[in-house]
Amino acid sequence: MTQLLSLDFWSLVGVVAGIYAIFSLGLQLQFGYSGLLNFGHVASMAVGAYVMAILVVKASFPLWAASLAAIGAGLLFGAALSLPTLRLRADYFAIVTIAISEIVRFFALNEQSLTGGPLGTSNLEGPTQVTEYNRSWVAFQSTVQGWLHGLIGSHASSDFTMLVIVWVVVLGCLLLLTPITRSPWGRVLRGIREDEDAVAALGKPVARYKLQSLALGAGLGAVAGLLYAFQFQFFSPDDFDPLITFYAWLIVLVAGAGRMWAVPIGALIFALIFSGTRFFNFKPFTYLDAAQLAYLRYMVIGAILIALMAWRPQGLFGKREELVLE
Amino acid sequence: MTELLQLIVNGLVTGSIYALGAASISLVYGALRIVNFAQGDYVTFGAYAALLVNLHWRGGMVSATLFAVAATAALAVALEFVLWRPMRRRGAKTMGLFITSIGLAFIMRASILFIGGNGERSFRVDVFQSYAVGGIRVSEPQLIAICVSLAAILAVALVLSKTSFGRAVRAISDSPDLASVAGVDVDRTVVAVWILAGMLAGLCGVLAGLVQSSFDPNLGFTLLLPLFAAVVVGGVGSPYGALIGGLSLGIVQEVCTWSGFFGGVNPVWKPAIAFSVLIAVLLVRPQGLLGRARTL
Amino acid sequence: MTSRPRLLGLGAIALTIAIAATAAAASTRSSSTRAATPSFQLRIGTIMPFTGDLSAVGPSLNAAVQLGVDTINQTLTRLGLSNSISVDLVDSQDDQTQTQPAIEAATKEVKVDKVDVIVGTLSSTSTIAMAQGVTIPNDVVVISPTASAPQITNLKDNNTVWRVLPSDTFQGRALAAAGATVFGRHATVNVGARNDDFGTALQALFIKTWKARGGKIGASVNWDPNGTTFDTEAQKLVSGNPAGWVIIDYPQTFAKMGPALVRTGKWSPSKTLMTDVMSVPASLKQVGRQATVGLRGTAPASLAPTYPQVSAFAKLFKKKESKFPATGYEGLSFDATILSFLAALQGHSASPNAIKANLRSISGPPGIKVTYLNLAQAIKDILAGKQIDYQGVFGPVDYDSHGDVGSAIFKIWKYDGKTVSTIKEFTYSSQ
Repeated sequence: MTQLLSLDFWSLVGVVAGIYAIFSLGLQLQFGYSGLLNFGHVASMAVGAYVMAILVVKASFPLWAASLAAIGAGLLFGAALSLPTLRLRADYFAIVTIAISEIVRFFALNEQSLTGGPLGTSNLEGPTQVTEYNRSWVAFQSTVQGWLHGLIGSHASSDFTMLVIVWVVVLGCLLLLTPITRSPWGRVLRGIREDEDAVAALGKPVARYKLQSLALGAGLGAVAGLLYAFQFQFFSPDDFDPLITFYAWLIVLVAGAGRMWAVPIGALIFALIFSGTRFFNFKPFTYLDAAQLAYLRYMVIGAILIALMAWRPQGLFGKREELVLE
Repeated sequence: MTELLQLIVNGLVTGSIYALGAASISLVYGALRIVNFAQGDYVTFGAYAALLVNLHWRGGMVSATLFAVAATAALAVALEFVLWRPMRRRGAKTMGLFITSIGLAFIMRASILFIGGNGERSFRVDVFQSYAVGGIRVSEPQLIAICVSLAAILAVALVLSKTSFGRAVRAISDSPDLASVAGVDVDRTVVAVWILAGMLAGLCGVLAGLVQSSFDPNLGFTLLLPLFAAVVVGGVGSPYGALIGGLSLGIVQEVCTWSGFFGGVNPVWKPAIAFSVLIAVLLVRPQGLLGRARTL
Repeated sequence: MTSRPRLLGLGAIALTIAIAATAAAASTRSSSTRAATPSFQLRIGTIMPFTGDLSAVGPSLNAAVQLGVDTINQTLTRLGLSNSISVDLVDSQDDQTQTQPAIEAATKEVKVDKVDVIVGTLSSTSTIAMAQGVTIPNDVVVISPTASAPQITNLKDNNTVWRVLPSDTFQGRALAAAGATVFGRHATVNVGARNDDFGTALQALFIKTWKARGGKIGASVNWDPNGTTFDTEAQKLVSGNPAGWVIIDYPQTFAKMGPALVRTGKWSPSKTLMTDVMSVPASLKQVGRQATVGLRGTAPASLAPTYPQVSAFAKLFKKKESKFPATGYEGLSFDATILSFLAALQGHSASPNAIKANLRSISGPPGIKVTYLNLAQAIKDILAGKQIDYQGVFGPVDYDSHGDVGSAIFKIWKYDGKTVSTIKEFTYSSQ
């Protein structure tokens, strides 16, 4: 308990929270605004990360170009996602999106020559060497760290630097999204979520709006994937498990559907719950062994989720009237 | 040709497990509108309940299965009273209930780990014996899985279509408010749905444990995605749909590896193929194979 | 009135006293330098999969670390050293069998718990990620019990990343050599492996080596460890008429695959080679007789019950940690614990720098061979400045310059249904 306040540990937690915040902002756009049940959102993260790494390692792209291409690939992926899915009722759309994200993950897992297979990006150049795609990013991060050092002195560790960078991006995304969602385009999206048929009756091309929402949301997912790749310097198909999408759903629903600014708060709470429960090494918990503590941690997380829903089923900042799905 | 037939039989085995679990999920979702992320853990619970009888109380598989079915049904009912009903009363709708089910899933799996331990478990059955039936190999647990699954789902289908209880279930899946106006005791019907769903889930767990020869607390969770896929392919709310959905996904997964099919797909792609079939079916028939065409 | 004889006598006494005093002072000084007891507290942290895909394995390996810590502390108490030296398992964290939680767990243990050594994690991908993300920049020693990917050998880690299981490069060659002995160099074998980082890497290396030596590959099949049924994969694996099989899997999944293979009616364990973890009797029992009697495989030579520390450890684990299933891997994390302690002892400090500087020398020749059974003697030898060579409970653990277990004597083992015996031994050194 004494060491609870380690700046470096919570910096890392904050970085992960920031990455999840960006990831969930994409989902918030797709679900909170357009009512689309995208349960395959993690695939956009995978697309962003893998496209960047493959272009850097196999095609010798400079990092900035590969990153732009990765975001573009994310946008395209989201747009493509809309094609087979728009005729389906909401819940079937959900299962199809999971199906697509799993197909993407299996592709990453089995096409070893292209993606490195189960060993992930460390295997992009075969078993003899550990591949790095990150060098330019590390240089960039050091530069930023130097600036921060000038500002706040020795607290500017590399984890803290990454924290600052990631949350600047979060802020940037929010500043980008807020006017977009308040614009006429955003209002149409909300209309689609509340009553699609009415919007169609007004003559709006509903399918096109959905496509745009999915594309933009996936682009944000790709950005999150890039930051994930940069922070951890290495990733594998396991990092893009469907469970990650469910985490984003937890964040969006805990924050409240349709509230952009609530998403980062939701991400921080979510990170706090998952990371904070690693600190159970005080009595009476010490009577349990390590395995039991690990299980207890999961029980506590589950209990908190249920308690949150019992207390505020509409999410922390959501409105009760917006709860009903169908 | 033998290879193809063998693969179809393999697919029937896999598919039977899927069908049972899918029927359980389909009931809960169709009638109660709950996407139960914890349903896989209900399945695991069934397997472990059977283990308790089979290993610790030295019972045979039949009594173990009966116990597992009853225990999972009891668990489902208990959770309805302790969790689902209070949450519904507090105003939780589909999404809130979904998050609740995620929390429940975490708690259940951690509890099974806590109580049952993390090791691999097996029932006291011979998992090595197989019979050659005209060039095809099949084992007793596999045959049992196919027959029991089929029988159970047909029984559930008959109950739902021929009894007044079944009419009540269909009424509440269309609209709980209208149903109660029409005189249906909604609360009691909900409990009965959970009993049925629990029984199916428990049975699925036992058969899955038998067919896999060895299992651990992740048993049900790893089945969850294929189960939901089977529900959707077959069409929500119909036990026949769950049967068709489960069996077809199971068969497609195994048969796609047939060497006569462009040399055969590498088995590591099996789930991806199943998911592709799901997408293909829904493109052609958006409501699933046996689902009712309905708007949102 | 001092007479001469008296003066002489006094002088002699004074001289004697002086000499004695000097001698005493001299001997005290030198013995205090020689017997200077180092004083440190070694802080170990573990990162293991308690939940997720590998949850069947994690808790047991964690318990083995605790067992190692307890063994060391009891020995120190018996030697009267527990006031100055102690070892603590300060934290055990769950990596959920995923990369990102592993990194978070490592960050906590490094930044909050300030550990000197991390024993973990189990999968190669998580170990690489954790190392690159956290432990290498922070100069903390990592000893992974089971990460075997070849990439780790050349990781730029400032000597901080070590492992106890031989690298796949090694194991692949050992498997090929064993295959040549058992099936014949030019034989056709079918290869099966689990479809994850461990299975596919070793499978690729084996196939490459086998073909280079003139062998042929019949079918090469992989299976999803989370699959619902395995009969299709088993049937594919027995297709053709191979001279035998090479199978790369964990006991937990082979408990499902093995029966499926038996059910095909075309497979025999006596024509199959597997790897070290399957040679542990507890693993073999888990899978069942019909899938294991006659099974052979490769393993480090000293992983045999005839080596006293191996059978003693198996008994010790069963007795002290009976609530945890024996997975076959416990010895690896136990060895990791003892090794980090011995390295710290020789370096007279628990700092990661001291540990990484001494791990290689205490693990291999030259030196007096010691095991955990004579740990007390090993401690005394190190304190006396002697060289030791720790022989682990999973293998001889002789480290090379990369932090891999280097020169090793491999063996082909065989299970006859009751015991595991050695058929042949051959020596390998890392190149």
